[in-house]
Amino acid sequence: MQHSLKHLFLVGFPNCGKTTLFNTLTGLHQKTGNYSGVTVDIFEGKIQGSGGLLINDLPGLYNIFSKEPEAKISLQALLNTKPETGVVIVLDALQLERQLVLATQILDLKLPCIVVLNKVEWAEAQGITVNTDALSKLLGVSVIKYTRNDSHFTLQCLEVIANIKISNVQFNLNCDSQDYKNRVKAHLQKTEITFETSDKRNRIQTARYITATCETRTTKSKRNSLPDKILLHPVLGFLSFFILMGLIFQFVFWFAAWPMSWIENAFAALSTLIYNLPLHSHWTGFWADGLVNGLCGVIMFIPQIAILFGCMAILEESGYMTRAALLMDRLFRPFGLNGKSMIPYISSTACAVPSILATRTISSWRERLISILTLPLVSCSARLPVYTILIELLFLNQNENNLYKGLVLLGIYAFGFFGVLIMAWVLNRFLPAEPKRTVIMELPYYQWPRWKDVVYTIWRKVRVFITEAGLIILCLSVILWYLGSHGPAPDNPANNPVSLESSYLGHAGHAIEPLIKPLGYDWKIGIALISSFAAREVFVGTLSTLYPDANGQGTLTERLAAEKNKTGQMVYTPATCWSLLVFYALALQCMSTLAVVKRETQSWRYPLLQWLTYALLAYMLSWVTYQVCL
Amino acid sequence: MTLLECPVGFIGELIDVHSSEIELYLLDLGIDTGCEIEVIGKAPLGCPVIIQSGNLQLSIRKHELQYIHVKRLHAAFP
Repeated sequence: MQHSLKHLFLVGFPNCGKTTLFNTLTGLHQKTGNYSGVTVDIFEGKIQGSGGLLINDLPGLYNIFSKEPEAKISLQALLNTKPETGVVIVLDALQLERQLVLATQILDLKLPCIVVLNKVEWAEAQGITVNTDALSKLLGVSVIKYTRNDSHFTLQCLEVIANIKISNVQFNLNCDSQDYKNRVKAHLQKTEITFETSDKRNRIQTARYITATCETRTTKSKRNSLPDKILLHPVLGFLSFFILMGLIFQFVFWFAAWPMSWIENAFAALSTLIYNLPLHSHWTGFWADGLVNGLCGVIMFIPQIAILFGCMAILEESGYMTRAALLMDRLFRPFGLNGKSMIPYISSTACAVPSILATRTISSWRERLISILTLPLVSCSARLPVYTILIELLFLNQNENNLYKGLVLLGIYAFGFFGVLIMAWVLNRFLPAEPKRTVIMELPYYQWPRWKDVVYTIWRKVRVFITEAGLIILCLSVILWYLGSHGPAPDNPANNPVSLESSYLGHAGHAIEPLIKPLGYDWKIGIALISSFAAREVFVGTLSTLYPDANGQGTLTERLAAEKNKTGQMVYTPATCWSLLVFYALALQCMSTLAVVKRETQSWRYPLLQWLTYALLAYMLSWVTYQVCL
Repeated sequence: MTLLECPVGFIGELIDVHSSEIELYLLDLGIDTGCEIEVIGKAPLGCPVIIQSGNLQLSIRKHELQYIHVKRLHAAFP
């Protein structure tokens, strides 16, 4: 039976190698599909040389009855196919028997299918060979092998797809095909445990039979237990875990700093170039300060995202990630967190943006939400310039005493982590419990990561970040630029750029003065607070604009220290500085973080709630700090 | 006896699972009654426990072990 296919679905177990296959078939010509309400990227691409045959990489699923939200997307897709849709079932040759349960379930839905046998060379290395002809006969559809370095695979695959057919074998003999599909559909609405159990039992028997017929094992493969003896050892295990985390921290913090400074310099040069163009001042401002700055703010994150996701992909592919989760499970459980959350928290000391993206590896939505909501409490590198200048101000008269400065800095970082623990504990208490789920984890074999897949992962993550969160960041930074350079003054009809003090932002700073007075801040700090919403380090830049170095009064710190209010009192008293330190440690003063939270939770509800909560918390604790220190 | 009572090194046969959720999950992994199960280790803090069946290794929290009923297979086990 010939089919004129237009569309293919790629389905299989999680980690069966679907994505590798997808990358081979489509090359880099892929895009993310958006499925409303679910935060999962479904990639779509055209198969090379097929004349426009589309293929979707569906989320992995263990079973046709899976209840995970991601698996349900795959299920919905499979149950509601159009006649011109075909299915490519991917099977991992290392675990044929287990995966055949899913394969026979999909075949019983009576869709046009082909089967691709993956990881064949690894199976052969372990002495497992699969007879594809026999498998094809038993399954009733074509079966082809995929090996990593087979350059003709796409062609071969297209040939098989041209002859795609519906299997004429019925695997679950207790119901006919239409009946089976309907029962699976009904099962989505209301779980029928007896049906599910009997179907699975039935298929396990079939899968055992098929495997026994098609598979030959020359050596009895045995797991190498040595890596786990070390990596799960009570002492060595934790030691290696913390060394690994330390390495990731180093990579994200220090290695990313180089490309980030290149990006910053390049954009600064671009800005200067635009300023030197013969344009109307209004437009140079828009291009140089609004757009170029915003773009810089987006591109700036790429090195950190790339490095973090590179590290995570390596840990995930090598099989270590599950061990990390296992190791930390007992410690993190009281906080509703998972061992996998450790990596986002570590990288969050560099920046919350890539870390929030990294929470994707946490499969439970509740645990992921707790991580996303508490991550911004970890003091990130953007807060460092703010902390530095405030601590300088605190210890102005004890210049040589660096020990105190260091201790305060350490204390403020500890304060952030402590905040995370409390907040996570509170959220764990009060967030609605998830429908009961087992946390049985499978410990995969250790294996060398496939570098090509690591690169693909990085590429995908960076792309998703730029296209989705990047746009929001760009828009927000243009809006902030407009508010900071345009004012409501009536004698400014051309709407020309104005100084920061008389801009909308300046007016807003004045307007919030009564609100922030109890915290010990004046209107200039108010302006700095609002403008640093673009990024926290802008605080320092804004202050240096507000306190210009008019007659050589020395460094910014000295200028700030000399600042007096109308009644002749010092503005930057220790109480104000402590209060600001607490405020910056807690407040979610970062639009990029909000943009990413919006993308990852698919709604504005969480970022806004999160912003409000942390603003209130920061306000209250800064107030307490100010009153105590006064 | 339940898996919760079994020390590291125990080898047994799965008899019954008193939680349909865990039973279904084990079935997904291809583990049905009659399969051989070995307790091969514990996480450094005592929980979760690592068990092996065939070529599969699983980590299961103590809370879930109490639903998994097994029968001792290995005669040599003390």
